[in-house]
Amino acid sequence: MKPKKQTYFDLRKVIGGVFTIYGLIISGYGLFAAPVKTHIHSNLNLWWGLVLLIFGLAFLALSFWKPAIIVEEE
Amino acid sequence: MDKVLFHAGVVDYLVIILYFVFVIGIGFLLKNHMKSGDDFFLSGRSMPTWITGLAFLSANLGALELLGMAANGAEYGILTAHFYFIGAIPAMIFLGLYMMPFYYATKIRSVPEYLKLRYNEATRALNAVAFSVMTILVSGISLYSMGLIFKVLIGWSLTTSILFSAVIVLIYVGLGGLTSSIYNEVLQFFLIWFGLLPIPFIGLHELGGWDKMLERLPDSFGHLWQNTADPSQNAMGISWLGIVLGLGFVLAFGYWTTDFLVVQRGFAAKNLRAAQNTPIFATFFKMAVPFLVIIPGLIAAVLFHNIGKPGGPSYNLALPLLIQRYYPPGLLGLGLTAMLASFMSGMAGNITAFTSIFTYDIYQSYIKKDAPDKHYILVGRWAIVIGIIVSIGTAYIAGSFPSVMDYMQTLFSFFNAPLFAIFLLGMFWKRTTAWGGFWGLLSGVVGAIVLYIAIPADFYGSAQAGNFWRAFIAWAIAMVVAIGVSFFTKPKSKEELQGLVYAYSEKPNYKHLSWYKRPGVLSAISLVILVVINIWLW
Repeated sequence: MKPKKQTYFDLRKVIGGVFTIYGLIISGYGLFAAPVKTHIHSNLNLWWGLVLLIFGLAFLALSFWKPAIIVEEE
Repeated sequence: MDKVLFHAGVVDYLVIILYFVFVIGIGFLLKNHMKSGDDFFLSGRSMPTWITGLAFLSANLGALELLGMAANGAEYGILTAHFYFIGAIPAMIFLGLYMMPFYYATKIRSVPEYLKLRYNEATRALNAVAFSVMTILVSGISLYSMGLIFKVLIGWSLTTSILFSAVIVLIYVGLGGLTSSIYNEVLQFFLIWFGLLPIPFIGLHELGGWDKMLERLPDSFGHLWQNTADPSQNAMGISWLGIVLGLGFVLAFGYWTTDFLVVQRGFAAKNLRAAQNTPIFATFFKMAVPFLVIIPGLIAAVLFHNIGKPGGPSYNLALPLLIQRYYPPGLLGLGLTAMLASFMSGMAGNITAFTSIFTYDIYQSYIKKDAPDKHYILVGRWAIVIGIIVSIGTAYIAGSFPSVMDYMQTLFSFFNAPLFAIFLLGMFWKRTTAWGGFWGLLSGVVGAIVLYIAIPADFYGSAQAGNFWRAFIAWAIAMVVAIGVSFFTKPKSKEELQGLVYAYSEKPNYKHLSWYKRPGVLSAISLVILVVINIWLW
């Protein structure tokens, strides 16, 4: 038997959390404040914020769908 | 420079502050898990491949790397991408396939510890002391550079930026050790990508696409190899032979296979296969990094006509200038966070590597041998505090030498090149003796320094070309001396070398696993992609 390995908290939840919050802040800011830049014609904050939000939620979903268990392989 | 490049608003500061809350939060969450020395210094050898792989890449993706490579892209063009292709991928694969088994299976905790087992105590001491000094100097230089960048970007004073950044790194590494550093590096990896990815897309869109962009640049900017037959025909002043031998072979292998800063991430993996896959997995992302940093450099070279010219902005500002051009408030906060994140991952990597080597290879070996585990964690935490305080000091020293970064990188590569020779001989030639290793290492380092002093700087086409050739010669000196001395000294017995040399070690067999888990198959895929990219950008 191999010695039992340390299980730390699930990093995917942290990454998911950070990006979900960032997605909400940045897309929300894009939606309500809609800042403009000379060289950009679309609402970059809104679109990129949504990308961040989807990425964050995907990580959160993954961490709940497949909880991290340390499995001893081989 | 009094003019500040960015005017960060409330929402930008909110994004930045939230990031720091998470970073420190990770440290506190991990604090209670740090029960043994293995937890603190090796993450309990429990990490899955995707975490160690991304951390492996992230530890190397410091702020200097981001800004410096974008700057090189603006100055030399696509040629800079050699650092990401031939200058990294073969070495990372070699580490995964051939060297990681020695590192991981012998259960060593640091690179110098392998030198002790394979050679002798003197070789280890030489390596441990030299590495500690180098790491702290490099960490100070990155601290200074980041302080300088933030002074220019958002107007914080140099001292504020340096102290603030140092304290954040101190808190999260001090609390959670290597695990905290690795977890943060993975988070930083994603922040860097998502914080900077809009730039190449918007930039290429503004310039009308890839081909339109290249039309507006000098011809050699679009090619990796075409202009390297004659060194005078490309901006870097280097020949293909110099690229292959100096960068691709000696410098890349020296850095990626022996530098504890990156190798340490593999040690944290949960089993041998995960450790082997760590650098191999990282190669896939490594090959994508040029899109994030070098393409923006090219875009900047087109958009800002006076960049790098007298009176114009420095090449180092290529990336920040694009952020300023494209990012509205909100996204600006994310872009700045990405740069902060990359700085901290670079510095934390240096600090964790220093801490492990100091605690295991200097303190435990020569100062106090048989203390309980708790004692070494305490020493490790103090080493972090002292390492960071000394880094702050070296940051101000760096500030008084404008070109110290060039010199440091030169010295750093000098040291890695002979070390790589000693590792190569040690692992694959069982006749290499203990003193052969020691004298080879010492003469390689000394030889490199002598060469550096003796040969005038303008002898080579560029500082880069000089580095490549000097590293190759240093490597050759170490090889010749180590082989020579080995013939006159007594080799180690077969029992002593068990598991330490290729001839006397078990070869892992993964034939029963599915293809996407096997290091050999993943390496082959990675190499094919490498060849395709090189042909495409020929």
